[in-house]
Amino acid sequence: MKKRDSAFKKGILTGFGFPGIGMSAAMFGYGVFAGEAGLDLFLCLGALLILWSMPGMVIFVSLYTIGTPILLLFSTVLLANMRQFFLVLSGMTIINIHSHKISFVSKLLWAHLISPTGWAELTKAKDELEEKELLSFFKGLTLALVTITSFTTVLGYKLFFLLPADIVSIPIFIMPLYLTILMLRAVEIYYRVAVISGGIICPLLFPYIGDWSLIIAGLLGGTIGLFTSYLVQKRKK
Amino acid sequence: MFDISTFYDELLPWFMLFIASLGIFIWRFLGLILSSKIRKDSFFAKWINAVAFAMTTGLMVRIIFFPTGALAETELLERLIPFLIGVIIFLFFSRTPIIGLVAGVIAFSSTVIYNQII
Repeated sequence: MKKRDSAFKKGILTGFGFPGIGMSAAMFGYGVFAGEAGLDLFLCLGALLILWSMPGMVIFVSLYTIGTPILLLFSTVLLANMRQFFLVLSGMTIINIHSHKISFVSKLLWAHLISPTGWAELTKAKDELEEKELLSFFKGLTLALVTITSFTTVLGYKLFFLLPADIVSIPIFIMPLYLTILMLRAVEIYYRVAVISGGIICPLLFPYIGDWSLIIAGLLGGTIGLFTSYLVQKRKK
Repeated sequence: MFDISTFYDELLPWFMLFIASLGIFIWRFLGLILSSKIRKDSFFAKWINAVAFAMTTGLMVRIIFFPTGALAETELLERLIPFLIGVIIFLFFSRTPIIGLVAGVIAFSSTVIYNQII
């Protein structure tokens, strides 16, 4: 029990540290964007908590404000968020969520709260904590992330007309740099190769195939990573 | 008297949000269901993790090259050079990743503030 409490505290402290700063900086930008688009504050905050996915939120605000038909809104959000499948699959496997005696609705809630930042912190924490502590860690981390991002979203929404766009871009810059550094910290060779391949393939394909570039970069990068690891191991033998 | 059009206008945004959330929920639900079928140390689990690593990095690098919102107000080189500075410094001081992060953010902030002054 004590171990789980300390994992929960560790999650909270992690969430209020750099991961929280990086993610909340991005959400600050989202708040500015939603304010600029004329979205109601409660709807802006509701989209944050209900969608909990930056691409989903940005698409919702952009398409809703121009009066897009329901089917187009649904299909755009669906196609742009396929990565959630891999993040949840990976995150829930790391936590080993099915070994915990919690209801299916609770499992769904934790699956819903997986974000790239939360998932990246989980991959880091899995080397530092025991498997059974990871869910407590994730609960603490998520609590902190939800709190800090809700606050900064409202802040961004309220400040959008006061700050020049250039200045707003400074906190937004933190998240991509922070997560890239976090990804590069992976020790295993297949993860490192996957990280580098994904980082190269996605921006190369994006101008041609849009959001599909992310899925293809992931599938190709992950496969290249594992294949490289297989070749390296074969060579060693 | 109860006005149905006002009621409709107030509920419509939340209904649209609900529809958008279904588009994400489907993937999360599938991910959760399938995670019960996968062993943590299996080859498939490693591949899924590698895909998630590649996808997350791809998304982050894409934000640098093709940003939206406030970050799009800056020039590509103004984002790319500080980003590379941060990553390269991290590679030199990989035991203390915060050094790379702080260096990158300082480089980016300096450029933005310099542009504001000019």
